[in-house]
Amino acid sequence: MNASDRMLVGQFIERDSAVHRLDPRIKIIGLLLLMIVIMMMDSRSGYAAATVVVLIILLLSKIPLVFYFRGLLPLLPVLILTLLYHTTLGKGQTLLVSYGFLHITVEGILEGIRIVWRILLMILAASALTGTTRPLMLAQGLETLLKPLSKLRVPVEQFSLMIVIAIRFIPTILEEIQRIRLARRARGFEPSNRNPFSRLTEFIPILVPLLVSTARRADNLTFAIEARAYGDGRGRTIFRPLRLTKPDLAAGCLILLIIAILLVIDFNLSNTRI
Amino acid sequence: MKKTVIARQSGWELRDICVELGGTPVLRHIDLRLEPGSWTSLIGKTGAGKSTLVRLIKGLIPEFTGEYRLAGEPIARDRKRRVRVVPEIGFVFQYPEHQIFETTVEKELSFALRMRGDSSKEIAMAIRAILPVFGLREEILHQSPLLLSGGQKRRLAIASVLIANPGLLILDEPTAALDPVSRRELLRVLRAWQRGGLHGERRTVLFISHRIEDVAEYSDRVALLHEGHLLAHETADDLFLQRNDLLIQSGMPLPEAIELLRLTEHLSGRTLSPSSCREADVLEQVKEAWNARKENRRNGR
Repeated sequence: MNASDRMLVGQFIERDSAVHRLDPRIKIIGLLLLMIVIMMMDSRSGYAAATVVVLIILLLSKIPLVFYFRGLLPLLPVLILTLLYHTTLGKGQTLLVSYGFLHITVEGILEGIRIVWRILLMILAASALTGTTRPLMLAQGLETLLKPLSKLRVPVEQFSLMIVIAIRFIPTILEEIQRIRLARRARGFEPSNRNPFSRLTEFIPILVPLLVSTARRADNLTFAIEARAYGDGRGRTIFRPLRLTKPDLAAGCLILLIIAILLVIDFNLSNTRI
Repeated sequence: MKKTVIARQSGWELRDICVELGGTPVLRHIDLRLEPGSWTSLIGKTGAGKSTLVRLIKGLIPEFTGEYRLAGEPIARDRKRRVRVVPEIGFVFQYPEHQIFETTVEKELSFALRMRGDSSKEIAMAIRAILPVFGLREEILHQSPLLLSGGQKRRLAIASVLIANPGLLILDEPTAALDPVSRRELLRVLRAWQRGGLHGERRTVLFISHRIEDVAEYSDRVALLHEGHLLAHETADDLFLQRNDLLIQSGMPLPEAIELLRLTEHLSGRTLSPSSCREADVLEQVKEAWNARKENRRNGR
């Protein structure tokens, strides 16, 4: 099992698609709006429409859908837990089963499905953003969007550098885990595949050397950054500044339109509430 | 461990091995037999497939085609027909100091022995025996390995592999990024171990190195990989003295001493045949040729 075979939430995948080429700022704003709309949804047709929109975005990105769904796998436990929480502890009149403090109601089940569906849509939309945008571009887009805040003395540039570094080091840390696991196996350690609990405990001895090496790496990085005369970051220019082109603006308008349509669908047909 | 003994005596044999990683062929039709008790070096440019080949031998590459025989028997596979890690093989990865994971030096050294189920008495004896070989002091046993110096860490990491007395030791660039003195010292220790210095029996070593001079100096045999093909598997003397064309064809440099030998041959018009490809022997021939030339000058015209 190779770390690089596994799709991670938020991993960039190189493709040549319209979504890839779109300006990161437009994508970020679009995603934010889409997420807000998804949060506001409360009609069945609204959910259906949002699902269609997210699916279309995923298809447009030209990244195989398998990648997106594989990326969801690690989140499965959280999603299942959320579902269980809402179905067993839900409120509502139509009682199905009641045992002790557990009350399974039709409303609870529906609420659970609705919330999980919402989270799924948002994760998929967000992974469409990170899957089609290089982490550096993403950080740059974020930085330019947050720029006005630096007037209020918010350290925007430092913040964006922090994000860039965090993103940059995810694969490195994974590699490190892989290396230590390999070293242990090479010296006769048999990993047990069956028991999820013992699989978990196997990670504990890896954690200490991992933390140490990560801390050391962070130290080295600090030196490297300071050696290149990194100051407080004010007034730094960007090598390749982002420029909004006409297609970008057109796509922005399209996104606004789609958001508006979603809202209209959700409000107008809200008599079919779930 | 009986199995170790069997493996040590009958060698490791690869037949028609092909490996693809992510759709690109990395190894193509490799046939290789490692002679027990020999020091074989694996050379080739970056991306030639060296690391993949040694990983395959250790059993870290679960899927490949072809036949891998260990002690005459096909290698064990699990239910999914995937190859398992071969415990009798010691493997020193690139930058071994990054593979230290235990909390004390003692635990790090004893890890493989504990996994094997040795008694604490045996473990203590093995540790006491290996420390001086690698120039490590007993005082550091209860320290954290992370507090050691870079050179000490590397020696500790290699010692932790050697302590299990593997029948075959794979070294993937063990001297990378070492200073010349430490490099020579480490190779000397490894050579002594291979010759039976610690456990009294010759060991088999498979050594990857980018320093062609080290390869010429220490190897019995050399396997040359080029774009996934095994271009040559010759004795070091044959490859470096007779078949330089193979090295040139695969884009590998000649050892400096051999370059000097060829230059001398070219300038003197004589064919020189040193007794081995080791630096001292080659340089002796070069020296002789130049002395002879000096003599000729003095006597002749």
